[in-house]
Amino acid sequence: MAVLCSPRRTGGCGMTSGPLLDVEHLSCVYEKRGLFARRSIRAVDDVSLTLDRGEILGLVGESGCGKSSLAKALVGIAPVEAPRLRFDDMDIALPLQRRPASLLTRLQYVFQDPLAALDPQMTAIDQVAEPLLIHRRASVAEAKRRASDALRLVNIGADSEDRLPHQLSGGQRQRVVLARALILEPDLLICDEPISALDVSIQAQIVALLARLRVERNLTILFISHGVSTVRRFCDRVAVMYLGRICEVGPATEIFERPLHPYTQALVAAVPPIHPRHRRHQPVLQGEAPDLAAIPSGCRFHPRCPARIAACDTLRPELLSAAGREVACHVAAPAVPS
Amino acid sequence: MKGTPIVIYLALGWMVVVVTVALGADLISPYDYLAMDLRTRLAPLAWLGGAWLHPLGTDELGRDVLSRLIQSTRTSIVVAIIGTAVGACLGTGIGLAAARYRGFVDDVVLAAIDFQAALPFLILALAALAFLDGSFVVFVALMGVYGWERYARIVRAMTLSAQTRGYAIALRVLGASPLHLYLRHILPNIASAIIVNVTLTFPEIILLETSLSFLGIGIQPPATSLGNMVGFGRDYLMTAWWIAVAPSVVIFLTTLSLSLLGDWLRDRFDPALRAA
Amino acid sequence: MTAFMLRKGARALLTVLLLVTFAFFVLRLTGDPAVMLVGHGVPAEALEAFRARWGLDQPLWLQYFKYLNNLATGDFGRSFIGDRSAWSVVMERLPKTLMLMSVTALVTVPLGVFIGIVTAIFRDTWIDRLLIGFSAIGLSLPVYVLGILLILVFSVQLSLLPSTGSGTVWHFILPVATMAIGDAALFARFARSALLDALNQPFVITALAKGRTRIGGVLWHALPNAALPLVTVVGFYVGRIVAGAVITENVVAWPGIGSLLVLSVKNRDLAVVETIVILIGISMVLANLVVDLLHRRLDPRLAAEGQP
Repeated sequence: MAVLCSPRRTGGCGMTSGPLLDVEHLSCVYEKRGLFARRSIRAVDDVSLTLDRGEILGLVGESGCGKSSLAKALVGIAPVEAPRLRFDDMDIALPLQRRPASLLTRLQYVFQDPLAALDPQMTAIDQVAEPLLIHRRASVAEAKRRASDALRLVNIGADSEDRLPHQLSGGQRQRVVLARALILEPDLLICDEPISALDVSIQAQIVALLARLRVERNLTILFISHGVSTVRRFCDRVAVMYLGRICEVGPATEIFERPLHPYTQALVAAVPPIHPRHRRHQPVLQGEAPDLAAIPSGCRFHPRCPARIAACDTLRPELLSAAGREVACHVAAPAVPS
Repeated sequence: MKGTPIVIYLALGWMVVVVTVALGADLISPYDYLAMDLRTRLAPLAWLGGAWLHPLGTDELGRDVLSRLIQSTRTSIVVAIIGTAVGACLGTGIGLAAARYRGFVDDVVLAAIDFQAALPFLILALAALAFLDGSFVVFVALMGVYGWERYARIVRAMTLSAQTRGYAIALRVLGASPLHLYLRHILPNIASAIIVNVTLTFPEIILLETSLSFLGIGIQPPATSLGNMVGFGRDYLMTAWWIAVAPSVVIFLTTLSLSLLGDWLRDRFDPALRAA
Repeated sequence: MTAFMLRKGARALLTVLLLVTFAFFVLRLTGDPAVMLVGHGVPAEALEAFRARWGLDQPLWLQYFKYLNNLATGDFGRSFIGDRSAWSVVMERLPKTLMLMSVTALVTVPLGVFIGIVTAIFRDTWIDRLLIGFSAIGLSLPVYVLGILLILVFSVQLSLLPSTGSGTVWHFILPVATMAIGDAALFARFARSALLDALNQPFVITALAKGRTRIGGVLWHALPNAALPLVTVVGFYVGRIVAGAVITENVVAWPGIGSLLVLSVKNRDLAVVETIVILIGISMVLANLVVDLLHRRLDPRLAAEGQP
């Protein structure tokens, strides 16, 4: 379902009049207060992206690249500097506690560890019903009935409804968490590493479930993962993040078959191909990932980049169009033709 | 409940007796505990030379020991119940507040906890009672202050960790208010820890109150407590030892039963906690 | 390590300051000591004179700072009774209490640990059950009840031991026994569980498999590892022995600071009560500090991490 469309063009993919989520120049800055000094950590630095209704955007990158911070910033639980953060044309640059309830129900969040996301003392069905009771959308009996339906939707049978989280398998738990997130019928679902804690066989089930839900409910999904192969198969578009900035974004097939940014190339090459004969030349990633407290100058990736040129350590590259996607690289998409 | 040792049933039985006596003191007491009869002073136990009119003998003012014992039991139990309840609520509330508001509030609470834990409460109570009037209300309030720091410490720690747990964040994103989070999720999760603490503090308050009353600084006459009786009976050990021994036996059996029951309850709660 | 010590030291100091402040304010805010001491119905001039004499007529804040100042120079105020320095009144009685507490500790700890070891070695036999029964009783019996019962049996009925005073060695037996029985049970319980835990560790089972006898296994391998929880118990014990001493001294009329404290509370003798409370407070804070430091030293996991 790869749809070729520029991430910036409003009027999107022919489904709505505007993107569902429109982020421009979002930064996420954590202040660390030590004894004598204050350190700022920019987990997300000047990131822009859009999400159109009904599409699945994948967000990939190494651990620590800021994808979780970005997700948390969108939901409102991380400190944000954002000139423009709009959801369905509403300004949502607000922390969680100041967001109106109507917004909360439309934008939901699923995270990595399903066991931690559930209250160990409540049954599955009670937890799925709870959001309805919090927002007073149904009576207790009605909520329970709808929760039961929601659980059925994610393939949790009636015999598992009344179980406690620790009595369910990992895959079942994550499906319960999904059911709970979906019971308010959100428009946008942000999934932060939803399958990383699960067995590989279960991962496929969850992904298939998400794909089905997208079709059945016109759900828009931001799918964050460090599992490149899953993202490749599942997402319409992909954004690749490194150290708090997006280095490449575009249709999934384009990005993964013809990666332009050296980092994307390394990520893609790191995935073992199915057939050994398709093994391609592996660009070697030198050095270790630097941490967010000591960000390299210019292009953040330059210390590890095999293709760097002189400009890379002084000038920060911006996202520019090239070959059907956008890339932030002086070599792949030079601002000024060399 | 299979596998429960007989001793536990005995302990439970004794506590039922004690609580019944405490509740129905006015109904079962043969005499008014204040009624003096100077003609029958220091009458011994019924089966050791006294009359069955006063099964446990009389004290130095001719008051019936059994009646006084019943009334004392009621006083001590009631004080312990109120004290435990107040301490639990106070401590839990403070612990929750410290975890919720952090910052300065948290620092103050921690300093207070340190302070309270630094001294044996007996000493603090003695110091406070030196200048508070000896009224019943004041004394019970003091008993209520006992042990708050243990609740506060536990509740604060557990709430802090619960607040950052996945489900707390997930629920906030789902739109739950902090109050909802505390009442419907955090409190039930820490309830068992609070209950365990209650089983520990209740007998300790009984001990504290009776000790202070024994020293003459707790419950003041005409009110009578188990500790009181032992204290006054001390002077008559030579001539009328039953005045001190009767309440001593009651105290001993009560604290022993509570200790056994408490241990047993805690053993049963713990594995249940660990399984979850 | 030093950062840890500094932090703990600061907390200890804060606690002491709070204590001193508490001692001052609670004792003054709740009722007028002048009226309580001199009595109601006394002419106003007499009350005024009394207040002026003892500096009670000045604003509370002023009194507080003068108080702190005095403390720093070692002046703890004067006892209302007999108009002597509170410090000397307390110091007079302190040695007796220290004697009693040290003898009690010297009896309690070895006795308790021994009983604990015995029950661990002979676990699940009748010896074990009997001793545990006694421990349960010892722990639940309040100190004063035990004291009274002991006096009744040994002093009144059998006339073996003196029930009051502190003149001779014989006078020690009842108060020490009273406190030791309850607290030995405490040590016995901890020693037993610590030993049993240690005995279940894989390395001990290996040692036993290698052929050491049971008693050998217990002593050689388990004891050193039980040291850490015992340090915790000792910290706990210090508080118990202080409270226990206060009560026991009153049961047997031992002329130490425990009975002095109760006497002063009844007489509302401000300065003496404050002095004793501060004294006890500082000793306990120091004791807890030592326990914390020992804890870090003994627990190789904490020491290695370098984290509090």
